[in-house]
Amino acid sequence: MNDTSLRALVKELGAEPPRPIAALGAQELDRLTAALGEARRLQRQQIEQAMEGALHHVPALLRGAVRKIFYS
Amino acid sequence: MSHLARRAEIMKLARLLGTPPEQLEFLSHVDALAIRALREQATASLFDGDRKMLHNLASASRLLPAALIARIAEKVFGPLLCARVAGQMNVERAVDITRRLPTPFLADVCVLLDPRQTTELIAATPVEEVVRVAAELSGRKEFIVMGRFVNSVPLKSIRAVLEAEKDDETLLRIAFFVEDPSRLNEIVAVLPEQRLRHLVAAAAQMGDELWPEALSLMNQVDLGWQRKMANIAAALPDDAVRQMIVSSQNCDLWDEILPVIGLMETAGKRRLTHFVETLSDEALQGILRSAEDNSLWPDLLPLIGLMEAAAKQRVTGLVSLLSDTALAGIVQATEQRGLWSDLLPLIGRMDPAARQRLAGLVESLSDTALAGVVQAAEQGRLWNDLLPLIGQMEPAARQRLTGLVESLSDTALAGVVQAAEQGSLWSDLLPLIGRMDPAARQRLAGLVESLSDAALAGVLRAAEQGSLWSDLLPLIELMEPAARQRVTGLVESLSDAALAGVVQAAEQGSLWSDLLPLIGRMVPGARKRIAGLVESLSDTALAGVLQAAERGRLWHKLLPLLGLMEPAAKERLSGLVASLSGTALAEIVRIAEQHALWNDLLPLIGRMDAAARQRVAGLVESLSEGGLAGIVQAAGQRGLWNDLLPLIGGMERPARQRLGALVGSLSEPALGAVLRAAEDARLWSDLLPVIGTMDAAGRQRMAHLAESLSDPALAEILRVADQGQHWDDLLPLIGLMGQAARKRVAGLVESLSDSSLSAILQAAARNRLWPDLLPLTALMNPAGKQRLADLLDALDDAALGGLVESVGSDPAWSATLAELADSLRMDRRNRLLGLLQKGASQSAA
Repeated sequence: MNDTSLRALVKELGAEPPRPIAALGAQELDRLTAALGEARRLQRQQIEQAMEGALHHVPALLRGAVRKIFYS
Repeated sequence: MSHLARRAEIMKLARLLGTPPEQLEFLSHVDALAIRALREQATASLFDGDRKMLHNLASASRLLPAALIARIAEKVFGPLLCARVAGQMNVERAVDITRRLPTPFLADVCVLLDPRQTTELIAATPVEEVVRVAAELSGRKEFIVMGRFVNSVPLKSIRAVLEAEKDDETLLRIAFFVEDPSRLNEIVAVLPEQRLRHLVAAAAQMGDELWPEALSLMNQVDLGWQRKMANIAAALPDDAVRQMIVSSQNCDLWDEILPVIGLMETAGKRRLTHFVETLSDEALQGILRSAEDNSLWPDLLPLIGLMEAAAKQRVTGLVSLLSDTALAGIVQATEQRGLWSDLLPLIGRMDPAARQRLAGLVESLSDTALAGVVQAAEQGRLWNDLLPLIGQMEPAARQRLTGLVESLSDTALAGVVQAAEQGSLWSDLLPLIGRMDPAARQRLAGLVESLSDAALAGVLRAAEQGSLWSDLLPLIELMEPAARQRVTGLVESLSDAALAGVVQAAEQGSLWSDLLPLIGRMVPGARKRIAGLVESLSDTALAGVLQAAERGRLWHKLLPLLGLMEPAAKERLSGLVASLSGTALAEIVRIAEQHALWNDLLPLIGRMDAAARQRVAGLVESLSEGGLAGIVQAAGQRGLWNDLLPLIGGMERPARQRLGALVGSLSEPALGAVLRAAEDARLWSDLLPVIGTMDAAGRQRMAHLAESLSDPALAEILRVADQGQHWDDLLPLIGLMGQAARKRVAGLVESLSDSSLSAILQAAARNRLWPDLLPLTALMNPAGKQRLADLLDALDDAALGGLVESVGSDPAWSATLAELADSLRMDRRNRLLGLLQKGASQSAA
């Protein structure tokens, strides 16, 4: 059954996938979910690295305040 | 959408997810639109997560000058953060920052941009900036990224990029990933024609590497551009065209190229066809599969239609292997696009089993659609392909097609006949003709009759082999006399088995009105063979033949046939003829007289029962002298006295008298035959009345002939004369016989009973036949004379007076009479002698 796999993809995607996609086998759905999750993880990691890199140029005393502004 | 579109979508999704396209190969059977929708969902999911933080970052950037921001962006934020923030910034400010950044950095940012958020920014980016970044991205082969921006970049920037980008491969690869196909029309439109030509040529030359991208482009632009590009491709050198076909085969692109080929001019299609023909059967099968899966028959069928015969035959064999559903798809496409001129030649080449399947599909089409089929056959001279198809249809469909063929012009019908002749397709055409209305059949007859003898023989062969006489026979009778005669000659030469088929068809289809005239034209030998077949029919069937002859006034054709039948069949037929109405019998008699067919009719009449023969006799009686003479002549020539004599026997005296005169005028040999017939068939009761009506000369010849009859025969004549009261007919004959024969007769008369002798005397007295009787009496023995005298005694005076008067003064007969008188009673003897003496004295005086 692909119900579990489909639920996982829906969660990762944040939406119901198109019907032909939803009709895929569990293995294929899992692969899609994993690829999407990995892309998200990588992207977040890169953004966080970029943000941390940017904050590095802010004087140490202000860093906390600036971080608070950005992530508020 | 096509599988190229799927491929492009998979590559775009893989790029978004940062995974190799091969990892997503399992999507290759999913519709491209679904993959695209998934990609849009994934984009939203990935890019919308950090929006708040990015928005704050963009807001913060407003506090700093653009030059500083640009510097921070490049040195601190890096391309990913810049790409995300760009979508959140004021467009003018973003453009201001952009122009301060180096092109390689901008290219890095472009790769990571969220296309949904940056449409306005891209549109506002100066042309020269776009050209620079495009060149950078092109150098990095970032075709997916470039394709993604094509929708957002203004046309003037695109034109500038196209002018700057000279590499055709790059353009095609970018086009492959363009999101909105309508944008491609605008891009193609700004390309100079020479460039477009070069683009197609480059793709063809690069074969498997670039041909898919080119086909993708061709299939996404609108119809006008498609046609233009298709014809550019068709006009390429042979090597390039060959490569197009090879690459389409290698990359399984038939679903992409078939629609393109479908748009080519015929000459171009023909060029491509030439190379398609060189493909293996397996490859051709792949093309058919693709046409089936993608409903591309309208594109493929014209291509097949242009193939050489051998290739067409190969394709036909492969089409024959397709499923019923696929064949139904072909028929449907053919009907909708009017492609019968392409499909019919295929059908014509199919084996019967495959054609049968097609026939089943075609026959379910509407009348209008069938009219289209007929029209295509007419215009393309494809009757040789259509006729076999019609030949395999169900009767109802064949009838509908018949109606359509009927309405063709004479010229078109001539084409049908010509095709049937050249392709030996009469077995398909004849059933059609057989269903036509009389007017159309008449037109067909006019065409068929102009065929050569060899061709007509072919028609007959088809009718024979396919049991199609019921279709052919009505046609024959509509032909001109000369043609009819030619066909008759051909039918005559058929085998017995074939002729049996003809007769069977006539019987089953009630086609005697068509067959009888044909039989009537046959030479006797052939007619005899037909007679042998007809006589084996049942009584019911034979009655059908007679009915047809009656209805169609065809007795003059039928009677000669009946005349050739064996006695047993004549016996059966006589019963059937006898049961006909008086009007029908009168018509038969009239025809027999008019066409001198008594020799055929008399044997039937001779076999009728008495009542029926009596009815015929009544009809014959009213014939003219010439008519009766014809009967007598026929009976004489064909030895049909045993048939005629009973007929005459049933006639009234005046008619019998007329016939007696005719018979009496026959030669002695002919009369001998009459006598023999009467003797053999015991027809004395019929002949004696005839003899009785003959003139003296005829009777004399007959008496002469009768002299040679045997004693039993003479005894039989006397018996019949006695039974039938024919003494008045017989006595004059006996009277004319020679002495020896008369003596034999006298001996036989002696042995008759008294009542018989009395009847003789009565007849003699009634008709004054004493001159015939007395010589006979003279030859009797005494006992016989005594018995006769005793009987004479019973006669009244008037009778005796008549006797004396008849004898007159002839002394020889007087002596005979006197001898008889001696045996009379006294008073009667005296009276008789007195009368005799008185007669003698009167004579002396």
